[in-house]
Amino acid sequence: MSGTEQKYERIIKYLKGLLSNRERYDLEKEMMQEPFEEEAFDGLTRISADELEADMELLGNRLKERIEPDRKRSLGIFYRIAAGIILLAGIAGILYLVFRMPPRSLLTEETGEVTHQVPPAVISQAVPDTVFPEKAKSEIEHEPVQSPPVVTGKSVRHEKVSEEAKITTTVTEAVTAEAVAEEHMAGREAVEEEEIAKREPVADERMTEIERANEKIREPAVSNRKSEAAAPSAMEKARAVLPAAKVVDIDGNPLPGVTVLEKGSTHGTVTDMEGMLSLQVFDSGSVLSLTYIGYVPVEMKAKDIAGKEISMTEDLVALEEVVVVGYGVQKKSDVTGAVAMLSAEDISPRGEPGISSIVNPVPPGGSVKAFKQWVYERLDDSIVRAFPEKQKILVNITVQTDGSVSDIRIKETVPEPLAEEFRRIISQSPRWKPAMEDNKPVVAKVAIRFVIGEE
Amino acid sequence: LKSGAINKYQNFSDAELMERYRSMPDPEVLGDLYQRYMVLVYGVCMKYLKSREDSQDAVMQIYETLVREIPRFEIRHFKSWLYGVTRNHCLMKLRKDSSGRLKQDKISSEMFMESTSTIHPIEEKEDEELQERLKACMEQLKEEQRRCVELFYYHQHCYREIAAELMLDENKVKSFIQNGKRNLKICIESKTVMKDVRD
Repeated sequence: MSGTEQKYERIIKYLKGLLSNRERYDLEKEMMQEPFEEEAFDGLTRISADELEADMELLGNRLKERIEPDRKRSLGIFYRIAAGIILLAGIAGILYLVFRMPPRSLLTEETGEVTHQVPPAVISQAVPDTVFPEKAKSEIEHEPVQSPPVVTGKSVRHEKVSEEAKITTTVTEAVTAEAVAEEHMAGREAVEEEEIAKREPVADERMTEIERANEKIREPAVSNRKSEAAAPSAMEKARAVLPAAKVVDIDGNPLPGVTVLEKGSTHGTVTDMEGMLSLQVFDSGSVLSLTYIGYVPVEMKAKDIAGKEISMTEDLVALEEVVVVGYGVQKKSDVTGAVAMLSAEDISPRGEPGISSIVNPVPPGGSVKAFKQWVYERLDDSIVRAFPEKQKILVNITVQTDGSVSDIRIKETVPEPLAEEFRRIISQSPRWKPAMEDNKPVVAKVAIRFVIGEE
Repeated sequence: LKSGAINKYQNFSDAELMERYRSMPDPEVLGDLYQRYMVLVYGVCMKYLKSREDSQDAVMQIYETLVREIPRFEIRHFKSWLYGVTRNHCLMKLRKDSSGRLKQDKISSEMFMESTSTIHPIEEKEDEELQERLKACMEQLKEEQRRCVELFYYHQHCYREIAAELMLDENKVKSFIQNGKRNLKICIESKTVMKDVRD
């Protein structure tokens, strides 16, 4: 029905802010006429137009998927059988080819050019006393060919260059090859040198900046230091420092810990306690994405962010419940088995302190047990004997930063003479070791329970 | 509602499609019918479940409910029946979901929103006596509710304008209007009862 289609378009426009005030009023009024539409409108205005469009497209597809299999079940079975037969035939074909192919043929392919140039007998002669394949090749090449050294040199060079092309980080391999070549091709150093000189540019082209830096490190110590000093300065040149920007919420309060990422990379940072962010970027035109749990993500070009105050709006949609498992994040509906679940509500009220380290105060004598013993020993027997019944005496004290005990409180249910006696003794207590938070002494409250009467 | 494909049954009414589906349960027919109201269903789910993912799942589950229930009932008016099914589904889900208990408490007041299916007194103009009572009841409303209702119904301003005028949040404006309307209705009805008793 075009009526509902139209209404949907209007809701999208409404959410996008494309309607005039009058049109907005009309839609709002219209949506009030039926409870169904009124409630739906309530829900739909919680999300943005983009989200709604995306969600409706997704739902349209899900509905289609749900409907299709019902309709095409009969046809589907035919296709499935046909596909199965084709798949089986394919597998059989591949297996046939694999088993027919003799392993020898694979070997000859690997050694390639060499076997073409040399009769098989020479290979068997050369192989026993070689360690590196590189060595084998050079030997094989000059023994039978007997041509002027320059020609051989060329072919060797050709091979090495092609090898360079395949593997960029062959510095060590090349060195080995050089050593071998020098051993066996004495007198042709000139050719070798020329070869290295020619090879260098090829390598240069293929190596990345970092690999080049690595190569420099292999050079003598002096140049090593130089290259190390040079590397960061080159990096600094490439990264422009973004002037600090501030991230705030709708009320202008700074948002600490907002994740800032250069889009398409893992390069990023978080805002500090004042909501300030500064990040080095390669290109002032690159896009930074700001994300913060419970807030609508923001994406801006780096140059637009610089020096500005960026405000993030709260996401009205409730946080999804996610189940965190060892190897990733899954939707709750996908998880089987027992899982513990914490919703946003469960977590928020618990204002546990962060990573600050807290150490409890330590009583004189090193333990609460020793301290209790110290108190029991000093109790006036005549007072204690007046209360033969079992008594639990809960004493609350405050340990000051200097270790002195103050503010001794005893529950009113304890008979006054007893309470007075405990107060007297505890007030004479030697100094405690005060509680520590982040290595600074802090005031702490301690509760100790004493029991007197029948043992 | 907007799936990209051209709806085959565009020109059929809800009742015609229901009839057709009942005689031959072609899922495409039901799908087409459901798509017309999918946005509304999704909206209601969003209102109650407050999560996009949960709401999407709910929309699909409600479709399954339709497949199951339609053959069992004589449904006269598809849209209002669908509204009932949607609401029930959401409430059941909240009740079942132990973690939803908090959410449910939070929205339980909203949940018993007045039914606007009958014309609200504020929209009836003819009855003078009713207008009289309406006026008296308007005076009894809380300041914010009264101003929002006035601006909306008498000045025909949209939520956004009212929000700007009264320096309020748009969502607040909406709930002031809804609650104001509810209070008005209760007030007027109680006066009517009192009058009936007097008569």
